[in-house]
Amino acid sequence: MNASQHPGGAFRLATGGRIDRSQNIRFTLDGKTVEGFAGDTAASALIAHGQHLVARSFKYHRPRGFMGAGVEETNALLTVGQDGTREPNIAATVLEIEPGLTTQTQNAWPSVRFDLMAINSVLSPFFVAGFYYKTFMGPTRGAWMLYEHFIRKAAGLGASASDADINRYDWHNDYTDVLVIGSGAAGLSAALHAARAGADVMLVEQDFEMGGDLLNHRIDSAQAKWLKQTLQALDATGKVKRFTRATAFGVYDGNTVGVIERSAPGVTDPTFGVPRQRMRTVRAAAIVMACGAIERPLVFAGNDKPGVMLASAVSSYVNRYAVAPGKNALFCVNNDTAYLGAFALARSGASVHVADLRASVPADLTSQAQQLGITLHTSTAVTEVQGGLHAKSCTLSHYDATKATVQSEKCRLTIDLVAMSGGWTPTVHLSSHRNVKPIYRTDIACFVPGAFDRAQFGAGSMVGEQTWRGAIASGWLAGAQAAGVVGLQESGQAPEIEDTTSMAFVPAGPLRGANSKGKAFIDFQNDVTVSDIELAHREGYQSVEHLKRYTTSGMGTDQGKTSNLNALTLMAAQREMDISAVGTTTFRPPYTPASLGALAGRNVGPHFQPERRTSMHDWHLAHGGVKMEAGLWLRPLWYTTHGATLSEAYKVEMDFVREKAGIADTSTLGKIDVQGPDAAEFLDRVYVNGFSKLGVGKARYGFMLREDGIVLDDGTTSRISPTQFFMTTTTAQAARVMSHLEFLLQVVWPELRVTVASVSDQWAAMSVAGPEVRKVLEAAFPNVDFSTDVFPHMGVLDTVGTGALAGVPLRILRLTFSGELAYEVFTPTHLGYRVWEHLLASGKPWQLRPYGLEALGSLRIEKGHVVGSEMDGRTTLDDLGMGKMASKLKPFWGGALRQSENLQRTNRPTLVGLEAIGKDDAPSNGAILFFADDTVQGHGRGHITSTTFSKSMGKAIGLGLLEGGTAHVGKEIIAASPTQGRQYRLRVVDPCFLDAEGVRYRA
Amino acid sequence: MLDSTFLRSPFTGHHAVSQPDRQGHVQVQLSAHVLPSVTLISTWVRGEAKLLATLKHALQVAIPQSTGKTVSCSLGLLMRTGPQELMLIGTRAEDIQTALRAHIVADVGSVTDLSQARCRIHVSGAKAQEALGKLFALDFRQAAFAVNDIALTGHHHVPCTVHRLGDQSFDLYVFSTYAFGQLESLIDASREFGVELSLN
Repeated sequence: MNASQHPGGAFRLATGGRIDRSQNIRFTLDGKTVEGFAGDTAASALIAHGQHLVARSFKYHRPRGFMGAGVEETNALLTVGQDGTREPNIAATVLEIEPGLTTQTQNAWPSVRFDLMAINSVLSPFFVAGFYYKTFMGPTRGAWMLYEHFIRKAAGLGASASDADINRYDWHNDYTDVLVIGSGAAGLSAALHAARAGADVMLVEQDFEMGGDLLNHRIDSAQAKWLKQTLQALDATGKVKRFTRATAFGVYDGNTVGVIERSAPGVTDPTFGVPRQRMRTVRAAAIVMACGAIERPLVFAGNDKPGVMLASAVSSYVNRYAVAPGKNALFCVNNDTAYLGAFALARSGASVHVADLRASVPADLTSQAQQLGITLHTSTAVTEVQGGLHAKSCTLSHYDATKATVQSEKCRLTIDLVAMSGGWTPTVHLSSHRNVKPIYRTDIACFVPGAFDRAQFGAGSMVGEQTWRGAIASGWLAGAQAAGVVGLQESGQAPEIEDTTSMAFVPAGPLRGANSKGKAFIDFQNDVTVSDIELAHREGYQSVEHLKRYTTSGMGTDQGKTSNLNALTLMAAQREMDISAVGTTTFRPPYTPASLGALAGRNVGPHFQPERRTSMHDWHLAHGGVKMEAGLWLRPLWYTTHGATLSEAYKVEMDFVREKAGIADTSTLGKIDVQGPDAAEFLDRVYVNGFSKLGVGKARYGFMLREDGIVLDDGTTSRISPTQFFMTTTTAQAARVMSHLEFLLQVVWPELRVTVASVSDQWAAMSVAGPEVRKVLEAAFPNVDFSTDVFPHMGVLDTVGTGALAGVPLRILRLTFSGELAYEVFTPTHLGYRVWEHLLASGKPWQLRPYGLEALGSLRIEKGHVVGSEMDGRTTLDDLGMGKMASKLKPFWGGALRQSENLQRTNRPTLVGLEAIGKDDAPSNGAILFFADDTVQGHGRGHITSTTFSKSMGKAIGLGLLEGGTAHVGKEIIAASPTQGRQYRLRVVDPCFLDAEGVRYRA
Repeated sequence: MLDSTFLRSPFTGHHAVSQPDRQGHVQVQLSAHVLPSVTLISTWVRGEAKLLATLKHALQVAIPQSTGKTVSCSLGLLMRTGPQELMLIGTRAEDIQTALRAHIVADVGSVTDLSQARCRIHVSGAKAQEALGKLFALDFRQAAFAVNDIALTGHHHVPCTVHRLGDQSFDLYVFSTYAFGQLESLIDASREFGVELSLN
């Protein structure tokens, strides 16, 4: 063998390949240093050092090596990185090595060479298909939870990291005329045509080099030259953006494609914001899928042993990476393409036998084989591979390709490598994501995509092209069709490759020799064998979807890339049907594993969601405000200056509102400017109560309903002029109300001359409440007369500040939420901070202090005001005790269905007040209400919507929705909390706990 | 007359940033601004023709005929933000609303002051498009988004109006209450390209 003693490994060839021998790179596997070259994968570097054993199988813990050289790899999964950067189940065949890379083998203990769990292999007769389902069903329903713990330890893949990932991930939106997926001959041809036609082209390639299968050919081959020339031609157009390490993992509606782009080795750097991976959401006018085909393994006993790999993988290791995966090799093949690997390996100096299932082999291949000293066995199959931790020998048997049957045993060879090729399987995953059902072509024994979705095209071996010429021609045509989608065309000729090798193959089922021993695997990753498929069939699993779930064939990180067709072939044989009738399982995204980090992008930590800040945000934080998220808003819940804990502070804050004066930031209220000659008419239709007679300078509280009669929102609307109103909404429903109003104007009542505009961001707002606030405001705004005669309850004033607030626009509304004398002061957003500080300074003599959301909510409970907890999308006006507000003199939106039978049921839960009977009776929101003589079980008679502790009453109080409502005032009921396992005694009372006559706020 | 020192920018708390990339380059320049004047001019479904005619007369410019187009006028930049809606970004802190209301009377349309409801973030530099492409699902190719056009888009479902000033130069009009976070997000998105932020 022509292997050198080069640091790159004993099995590294002295010349050839696409690796950069000038760059030595060291990485570790299980703590041991491995040396390779730039351009190596972990797999090629390890093979260069003669290491094939890198994994243990999922269920039986059988020793496993490398089966492929790309994304089809099913065995050689490694855990990469450590701690927060650890990522399991990375195929070594796609893992570029870089300095400092650390990898670990997985699913083995203490090591892959000596794995104690290999005992499973001995017990394998018990671990047949459906073993878990049959064995772990009892004795109790909860028993599975116990079993699962141990099963997960015994079987499985790598463990994910539990620490936060320190890497950075990102998102990007891309738009293009034509997206080409795959950079093999067909993809490049398509991209070139589309680009020459003038289209903007994005070309994405999952590998770290462009070329697809072209890379598996010698660097001096016609294919390699074609690749180089075509890439130059693509670049010359100036229209092509090329992305390597970019996997199109899913195709979605509207020609949207999810692409995950991995950074090149050494590029990622979180300190500079350079991501490890970037998810690109590509929106393309047209898509060309040139996803290629994946080689099909052959099925024979011992086909999973380290040293058994796909023939195309051998081509790749020898021609691309300059690595010889064996010295004494057997190739078992059923097609011409597999000879590429055999020839390459023979040229490297290895001893090569080829067992071809076919009776005859094209003369040019025979001739080349002879020249390279290859021993060719026609009508021959490998029927068993022997060996422990590595393949050592194999058994060859006579094979009749016309009957697809194995005949007598022929001979036994000593080998260290078995390369297998059972033909090719077009990669139809991405087209299937668009529900394009694969159809079976008997002539080529493959499933290919059916009719593509609109503006999507296929090319190359993915659509069943068998030759280079066919692939290039189909790519050229697809490129033309894709360019045509955006109205472009080009009439040149596709550049051709002089190679007539065909991918055509003679299909083969399991190659069972008369004396074959051991398991023949269909799905290597899930340890699914021929006997598992046969058992599933015997047990009645006829559908491929059932077969998949019962045997787990086609699951896992490789999603059946190498196993599906063999499983289907076997199933079809068992059912004595054509494969086309058996069908395929459904391919769903992602095509290859996608890291959660990439899907999340930068939307983590402080960028998880947008933040919305009021003008006074910084003031709150600087003065002990404890922020809480209210939707996207950050609001002060309470102030640490008023107590050490929330429960301490909010009571203090309630006290000074009730006794002196408090100020709260209410900027989060929705604010809508309603203008137009028909604005009053519009509000009459929107609100249940009338607004057309509301005078200028007055405000009115109102409810609006949804079309189905359920309460949508409440709020206060002020009349600024005969044709202009200023509407406020609840914080939570601001956007929804705005959208509702726009819908009504544009769709339902387009004849109305009304505009609506959100002015929520234009106005900062603060509520000043308490018995002393009139004095506070008089001091703050000396130019305004706040006497009740001039400025009565529900009065509105637009004014401009004087003195320290000279020139500051102000809109002041006199209304209350707490039940105290109160005013809401609005000012343009950028002035909010100044007005807030001015009010606090002016209010000092009356001890004006800020209060937070908790106190705000508690004050309103005492007053019996409803909020989102009560207007929860299920309640009607009558449920909330507001039925009398509904006008009988005019129609309003939702008025008709408000009268529907269901909403008029007399036993609907309606609003009540609730007070604790005992000192410890303090239920929380959501507790279920029962009458005293009810059995405490089920949905009860209603529920608690809001609770608080009322200092003025010295007990817990709340609001709730109770069947019969206030008809039960005075009755004792039970509030049950199933989650806390507790019950509380409550008394039903009127919802307004405080100043029912309104003396305080009218003061 | 309002003392401008009374105004507090929503960007308060941000500081000038100068973070070159690993190669020492700064390829995204950001600046953040409060605006002197923003006015929404709108009308109802059947009022479009009358409003456009009135506005043309008032401003003495050809009004953009389709959403996404802009025109400069003596008062500032007039953006067509919808079929019955335009936004005027004023260049001076003068009472544009009163001036417009003299023409756009109640039965023609509405004039709404949004001067403090919007802020502007200017983005420029060799990687401006790349940085914005992280946030906005917007086709930045010039054939789809020409210089002087606007696009109504959003990040995290938060609305934003993007005005293209040049190949790699954009103004973003953002909601004031979201402005702080959106600037933070832009800085973060630009880090890998090297970013500078100036505040005025």
